[in-house]
Amino acid sequence: MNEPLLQIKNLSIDFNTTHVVNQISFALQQGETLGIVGESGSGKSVTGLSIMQLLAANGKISSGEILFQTTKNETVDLLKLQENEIRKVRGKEIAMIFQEPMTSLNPVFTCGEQIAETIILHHHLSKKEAKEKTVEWLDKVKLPNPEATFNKYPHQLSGGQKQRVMIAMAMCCHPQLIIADEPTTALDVTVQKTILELMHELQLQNNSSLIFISHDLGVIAEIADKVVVMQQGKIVEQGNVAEIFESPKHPYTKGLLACRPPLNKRLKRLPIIGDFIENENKSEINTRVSNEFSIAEIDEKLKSLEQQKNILEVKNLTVQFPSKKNFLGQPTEFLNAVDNIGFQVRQGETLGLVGESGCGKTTLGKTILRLNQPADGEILFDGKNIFDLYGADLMDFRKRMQIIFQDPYSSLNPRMTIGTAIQEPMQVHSIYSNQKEQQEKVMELLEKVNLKPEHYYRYPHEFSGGQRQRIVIARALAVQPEFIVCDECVSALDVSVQAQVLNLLTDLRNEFGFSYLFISHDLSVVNFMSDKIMVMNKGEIEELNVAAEILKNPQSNYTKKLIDAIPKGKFNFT
Amino acid sequence: MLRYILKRLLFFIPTLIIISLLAFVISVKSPGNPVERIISSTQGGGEESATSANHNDLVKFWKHKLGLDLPLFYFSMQSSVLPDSLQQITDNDERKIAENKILSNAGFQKFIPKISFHFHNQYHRWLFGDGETTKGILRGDFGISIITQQKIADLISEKLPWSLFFSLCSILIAYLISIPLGVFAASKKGTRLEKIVSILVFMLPALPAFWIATLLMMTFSNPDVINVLPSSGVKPVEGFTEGISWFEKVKITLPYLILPIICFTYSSIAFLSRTMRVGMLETLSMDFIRTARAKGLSEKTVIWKHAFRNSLLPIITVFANVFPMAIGGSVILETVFTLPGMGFSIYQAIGNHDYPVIVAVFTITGFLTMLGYLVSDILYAMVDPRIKFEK
Repeated sequence: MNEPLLQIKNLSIDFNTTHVVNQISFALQQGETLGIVGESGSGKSVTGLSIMQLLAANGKISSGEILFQTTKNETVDLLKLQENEIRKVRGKEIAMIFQEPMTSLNPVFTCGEQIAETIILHHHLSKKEAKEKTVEWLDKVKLPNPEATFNKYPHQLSGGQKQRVMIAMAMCCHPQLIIADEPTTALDVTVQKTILELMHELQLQNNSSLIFISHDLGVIAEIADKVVVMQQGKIVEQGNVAEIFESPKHPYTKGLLACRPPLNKRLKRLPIIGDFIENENKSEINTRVSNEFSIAEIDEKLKSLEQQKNILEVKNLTVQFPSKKNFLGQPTEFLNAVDNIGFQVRQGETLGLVGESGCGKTTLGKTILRLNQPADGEILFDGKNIFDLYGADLMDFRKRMQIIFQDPYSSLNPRMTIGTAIQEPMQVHSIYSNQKEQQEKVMELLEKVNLKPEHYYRYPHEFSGGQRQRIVIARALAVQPEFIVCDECVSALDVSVQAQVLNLLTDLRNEFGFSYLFISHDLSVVNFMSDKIMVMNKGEIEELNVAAEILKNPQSNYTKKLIDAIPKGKFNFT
Repeated sequence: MLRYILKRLLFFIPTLIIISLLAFVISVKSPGNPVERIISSTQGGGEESATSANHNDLVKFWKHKLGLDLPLFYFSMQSSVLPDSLQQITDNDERKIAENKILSNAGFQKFIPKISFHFHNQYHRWLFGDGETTKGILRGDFGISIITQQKIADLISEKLPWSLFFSLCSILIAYLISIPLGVFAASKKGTRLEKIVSILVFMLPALPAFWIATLLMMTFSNPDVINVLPSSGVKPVEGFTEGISWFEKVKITLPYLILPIICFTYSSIAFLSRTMRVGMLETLSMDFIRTARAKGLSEKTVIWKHAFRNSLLPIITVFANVFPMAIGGSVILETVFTLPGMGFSIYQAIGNHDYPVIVAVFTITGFLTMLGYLVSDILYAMVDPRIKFEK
């Protein structure tokens, strides 16, 4: 076998005094794709950045070496290079694609200028030649009308298009190694699919190697040859993609594979990583993993739901946003974010709402809470049109309907202890007779969402993302609602944390009999939670049916496309 | 871009109208009777020659001349029983008495309002002039100072250029120094040199301007220490010699400007460089800076090409606020260096209740504020392409 292109030996990275990466070693051959999987904080991004020597100022490499074979067939330790030497490697021999296409491009330069800059820097071409080259690359990454795209600013492109620009920027100097750090995480599944295909195609053309960092096992299964699984800065397992996915050895890997909600069946509870690590070598896991709903059980549930009254009824709902304004700022044209939609949710039912970004699902959720005004149509909650409510009736409606938002980081006031945050809605609606009783109830709620009562006096920044989302859930529960809108409430979380939060939501549903409107872009999550699924596209309902039916037997082309785009690789691990 | 500027300009019109209305109201409602003041000052001291009838004629004459017999605004609303001719009564008190008499005799009709329109009115005259005695503020006629009897326009055209010159010079120099300083402080954050420079820069605004000014004068224009710079004025006391070229004039004037400009400038450097530093630090933590470094660009290119333009927005915002201050000048520095700026004139006008001057300054400041905002809006659009496209 040839000398590997990249070899990392006993690499350790410290941030201030914490070990973020701890003694990791792996190697990568020319033309190979290595997937690095792990949850947030596992050190996978830091590993990627350390290869490029792009760590933040407080990150220090405390030991190890990173051996890289340059185009001149010399093996160099990237860590020993001087600043001006490593600059010749960056962009030319090793290139990087980042996660956030929205913020990774400079907003004040055109996309073309930013790509041409790299070409001029490393190939010493004139501006005109570089421009030709750039247009060529914009064409290669399949951007429409490359000549025009050259002069466009990043904000004029969509997320997927920006990521294509990033790919062109990374590939344009034919680097031997490309490090892609979660390049598709911020994109819709259908866009993700096309981007992955594009990357694969260009990689084959260039015969370059790829390090693909992701938290999404499905994507890794699709694209990688070898996989490295990282947990808390250590590599817990590495091997061929088939080995990892078909016969994982480490309990953490097993847990990661199992805690993704499956598409082909509906589980009662999701297994969590903790189960695997605690109960290593115990047979108990198997029984847990196989706790799926039988077809009879699902039918029974659906039948019992038929008996229930409609708690929410949406009729011919249209919500508009101004898309064009005239000189004086008066809107002249409208965009239908939600276009003539109608559906019902029964008491105790969970309706899943899937669709890509911009399809109107969040707008619909907000309108149901009367946070938007509709252009037309009505929404009946418990038989009353919510847009006719005012005064005490409106207060009562607000109490009975709650929302859980997507981003647990920005939906909690950083200056408010979590106790007061949860207590506030109680005070607004004057539930419970006095302060003390409310406080006791808050502590009870904290326990209910698996936090501790003594957390009452802490501030949001002391909690992790998953814990914060549980706090937000507790806040929604504080007023004893009947209907909860979950707007992408797990999409900012790691798979393992996602499993815990989803389990909590199901437990609470079983205990209190809530109805949920569960909004998500992730079909597998929606499938786990919902009795029925509604697929939205461009403001309209594509399909509305029983969850299993949608997945097994999609009727509309759009749904088929969505299901088809979900990355799963050739392994049947879900 | 042109469309953007036009739109901005269009939005300024209503604001300018409001500024002019406010200034007008202040000038009308300012205490004192301008007619009486003029009469007493033209008659000279203490002569008892003016009889009562003569005096009334004079009042009528001056009221007409100053346009005070005109209605206030383009339209007016009053009780329908009051006749228009009431306006002819020149004395305010007499008019009030007449009004009350009519109203108390009238029946329910006095509650019916009447709107009347007047093309010739005081506001119109104030803005556009009457074609004879006044040209209106839009053509630069701000009236006459009631203290010095000097034309306000002359006063302003004499003093304002100097104020503007000193302020704009100091703004320009302050920006030229503090932008690189801020960039330096951000890019070398945490190094010893940066810390020392930052501490020194932050001590500057704590030093009072008059103290620094005196200190500089005592050092650089003191025959006992170094006598290289003149200590006061903006030109030689004896004036320029006849027939010297423009270039020669500048060469002679320059030494007079150095000390004042230093004093005008130093205190704003700390604030500006701090604003720049904060903006730069924020930009440097952005994802696209990491992208730029990943391309293999040198640190210099990363900072001056990729980060610089993005961090200019806060410092442009500050510009809009600095600009209107330019007219005010500094009373203290003008006094210390005997400079012919606006600051001292404004100070005097306020002390003497010279309302026409105050109103003129108010109007010009309002206008300059608007101009500052316009300039910074245009700069915004030039720096950040995202702004232009927002319709």
